[in-house]
Amino acid sequence: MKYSYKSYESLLVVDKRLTKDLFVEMAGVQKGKYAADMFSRMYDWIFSEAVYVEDDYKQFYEVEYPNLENFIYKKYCVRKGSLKKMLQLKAENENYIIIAFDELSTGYGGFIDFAFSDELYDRFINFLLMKENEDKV
Amino acid sequence: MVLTATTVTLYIGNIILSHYIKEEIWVKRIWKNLFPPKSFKVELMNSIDETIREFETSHPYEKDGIKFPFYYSKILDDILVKHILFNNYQYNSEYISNELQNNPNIIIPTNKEIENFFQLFVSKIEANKELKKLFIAENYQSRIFVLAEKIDSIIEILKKAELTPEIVVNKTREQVEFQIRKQITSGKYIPDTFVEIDELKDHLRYFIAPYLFIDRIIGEIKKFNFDYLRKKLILKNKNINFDFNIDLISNSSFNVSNDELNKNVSLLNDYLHGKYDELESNRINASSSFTRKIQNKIDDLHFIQSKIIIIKGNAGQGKTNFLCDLAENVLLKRNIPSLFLTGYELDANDLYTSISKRLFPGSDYTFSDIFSRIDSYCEINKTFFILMIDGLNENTNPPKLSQNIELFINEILQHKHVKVVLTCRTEYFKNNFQNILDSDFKESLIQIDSINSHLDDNHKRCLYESYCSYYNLKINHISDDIYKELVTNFLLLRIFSEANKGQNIATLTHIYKEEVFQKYYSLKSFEINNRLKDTLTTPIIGEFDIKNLFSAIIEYMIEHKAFENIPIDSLLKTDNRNRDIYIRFLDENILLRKDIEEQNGIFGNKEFVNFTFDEFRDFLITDYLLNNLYENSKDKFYLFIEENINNKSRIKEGCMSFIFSMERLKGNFELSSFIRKQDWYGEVFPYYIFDIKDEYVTTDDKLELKSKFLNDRDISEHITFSLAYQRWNAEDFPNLNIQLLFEIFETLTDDEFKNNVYKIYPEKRYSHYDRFEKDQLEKLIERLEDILGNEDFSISPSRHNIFQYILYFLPIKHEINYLYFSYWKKYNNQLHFEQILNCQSEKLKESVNNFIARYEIQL
Repeated sequence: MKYSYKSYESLLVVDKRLTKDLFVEMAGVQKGKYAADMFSRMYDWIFSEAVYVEDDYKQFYEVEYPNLENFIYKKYCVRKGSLKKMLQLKAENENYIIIAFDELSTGYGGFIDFAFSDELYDRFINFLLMKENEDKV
Repeated sequence: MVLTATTVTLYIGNIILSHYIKEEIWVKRIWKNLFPPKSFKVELMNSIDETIREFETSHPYEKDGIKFPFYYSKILDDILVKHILFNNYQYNSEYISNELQNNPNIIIPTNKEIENFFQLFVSKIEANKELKKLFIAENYQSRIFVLAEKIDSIIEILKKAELTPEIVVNKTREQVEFQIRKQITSGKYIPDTFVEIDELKDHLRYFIAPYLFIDRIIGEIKKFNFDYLRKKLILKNKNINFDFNIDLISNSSFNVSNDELNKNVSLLNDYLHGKYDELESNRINASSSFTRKIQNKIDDLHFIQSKIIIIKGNAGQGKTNFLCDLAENVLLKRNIPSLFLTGYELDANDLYTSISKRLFPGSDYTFSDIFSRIDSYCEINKTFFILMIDGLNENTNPPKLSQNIELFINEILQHKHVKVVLTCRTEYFKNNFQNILDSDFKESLIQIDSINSHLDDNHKRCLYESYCSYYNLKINHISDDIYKELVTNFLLLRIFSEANKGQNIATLTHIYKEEVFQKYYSLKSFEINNRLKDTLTTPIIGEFDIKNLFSAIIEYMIEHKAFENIPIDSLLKTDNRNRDIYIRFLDENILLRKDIEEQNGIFGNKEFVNFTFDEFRDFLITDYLLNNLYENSKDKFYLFIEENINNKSRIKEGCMSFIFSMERLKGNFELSSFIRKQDWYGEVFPYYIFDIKDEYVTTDDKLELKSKFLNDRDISEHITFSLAYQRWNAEDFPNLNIQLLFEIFETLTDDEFKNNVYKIYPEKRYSHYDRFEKDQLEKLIERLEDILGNEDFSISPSRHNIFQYILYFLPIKHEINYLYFSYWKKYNNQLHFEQILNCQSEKLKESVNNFIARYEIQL
């Protein structure tokens, strides 16, 4: 699930076990080929500078807010309905976490139209949740 | 007994006295009258007298010419006094006997008699408590005073030793909590409504708690990914290896001490600046993403290192709300010591004392006593102390404060653990406190020019939800128009939510502003009157009602035909005794604001009053016009309306709207006739009629609406949308509702439908940005599909009306066929067909007949 709280800044629910190697492997591309490099960069685009929201909350903000839900609601101004869905999804699997990522900061802005296009949106979201690849962990 | 200077003086005085007093006088003991009553001397003589009288009774003497007994002699008296004054001066019977023999007129006693006399005397002295008291008073008073002074100074030293850092910090906490409560009561702080926009609150966090948040900033910098940049540089044949590694710096300890923090942050800052410059000197297309993120972190570090922040902004922008939120959630919850004062509370002549007295009223603790404790607390706990002064402009002596605050901040910043946050209205800062920007501490100063100025839709929604939540207001459904109106005008949102506190509103499709304003005005006047009476330190003189101030403003406006910049001095003339209270109110309320106007020449700047919300001003003007001016002088009222409520007037929009709705409430035929004859009335009628409560709409109003429908397309559109979108529900609007629209539609020809109705839904245009964007009619169809699938029409029968409405648009939108057929299958409602087939429009009837035929509907 992706929620844009600001232009080009989003919250994503992802599986925390998803490493770069797994990401490339799950994409089904051959190592050393251009496609592998592209997926490697795509992984970096999302994860290299991402803020791990719950860790950030626990380390720096927990004292200010009654719980994680309130923190995300206040800090990222997330619509209540969307926040509920996001937390429900997170609760489905103990490995699911929420990350905040700036879609432009690594310079790989070109991935936005590709990864989150209407056609690929659901597949890519499931990919980040490792929905069909749990066995690969 | 201790020999004291007083005792000696007394004795010497006694000797000197004896030279001037003859023995006869002594014998007659009339000397007592020469001394002041209640002195030790007199009391001693009383004891001697008593002894003599008692001794005389048991030892009567026989008169022998001029001779008298020993106890009447001055010599014995002298010995007795010496005995008392000189620490039980030892007497000797023989010595006394010899001494007595110096006077031939004394009847010499036996040694036994002398001993008896002395025993009796000693017992009398010991029994005389008054004598002892007077002795202490006369001999030890000055000593006691000196001792008391010494004891006081010892107590003072002990007290100061008792003033531990923890006591000071607890006091500052209590003060901050008290200030927050005070701001909640005054309505300037609404807890939980501050919305985090951009980096502002995080920046203040970094400033307040740098030891904690430096780790967050470093963590983010360490993650910086420049792979894409490096790749691009290679592609561009730029022979640069952009290296970025802060490990050397970040491995140092940032949170050991303030000096370490500053040193390492400076190193990091220099490194980032270097990298920023490197990128700028080798610009490629993608550079901006990378310079932006480096610049963001440079900004973050600036907040870590800075010592003073000045937040400026216009009235009502939320500076106090922000500071309170910061104090409550960032400072108190992290136990960061702080002090939260308002500009009004500061004594501009002595900032130090006014601060120490705020914390420890009635004590002699000095500013330096307090701050030395704060220093040691901060040193031990690795924290900063945050001094917040909200609203410098609220101070009663801005020129003096301006001079002294610079010196004060300069000195307080010498304490390395102290940071300062100031807020001030922009125009007042420019006029009075600009000197701060050129001070010695300007390098450690950050200015924030405005807060809450750029709210996006997310922030607006958050703010809307926060207000509803704080005022426990539940709105189950709100129309888009009203939501938009509330979130673009937060003062209206504030007034609306406060006036409707605790209510449960099923559907909000309209705000009757005159009703909301009236409710809010009464509520706030009552609250303010009570609060000012209860909490002000300045006593209120005579009858006090804050409504008098509002009345004075409105009267001034009407009399001078001036609707802004009302001079404060003219207003306070009527109740100058309570001037300070009114000025205080102007500083802390949200409806009125003080403004300053720079004037040249010797008179300096002048202060004015303005309404923060023009619409509220127009409501009060209208209320005054109808309920005061009209009642007192119809001629003046007529003249004012004709001269001031017209197209040239700056109050026309608000006042026309309120006059339109409020004159109906009065039920005065003469007044209504006059208002309805005004040129503007006919123009605004098709618009404002929807702003009044349904119960006040008359049959004539409905006829008027019908007659104006075709006047122009804007009016057709407004009437159609108002009736269809806001008044489709006949249960909520039994009087003026969508049925009137159907009556109008029934009379329209094909051309009239085409020009005045169908054109209100323009066809979709190609959008480069959103290929999937729907036109307004398509959106309505989508919404109706949703309603049809999810709602039970038996609960809300008026839902059928919207489906009748959409049927009129069958000739211009093919998709309505599918929607309406789904509706028909579910409800089999023949009434819509019957009514539409009675219309004049042939095309409409044709479309509906085709629909009936296509779907084989049996009527």
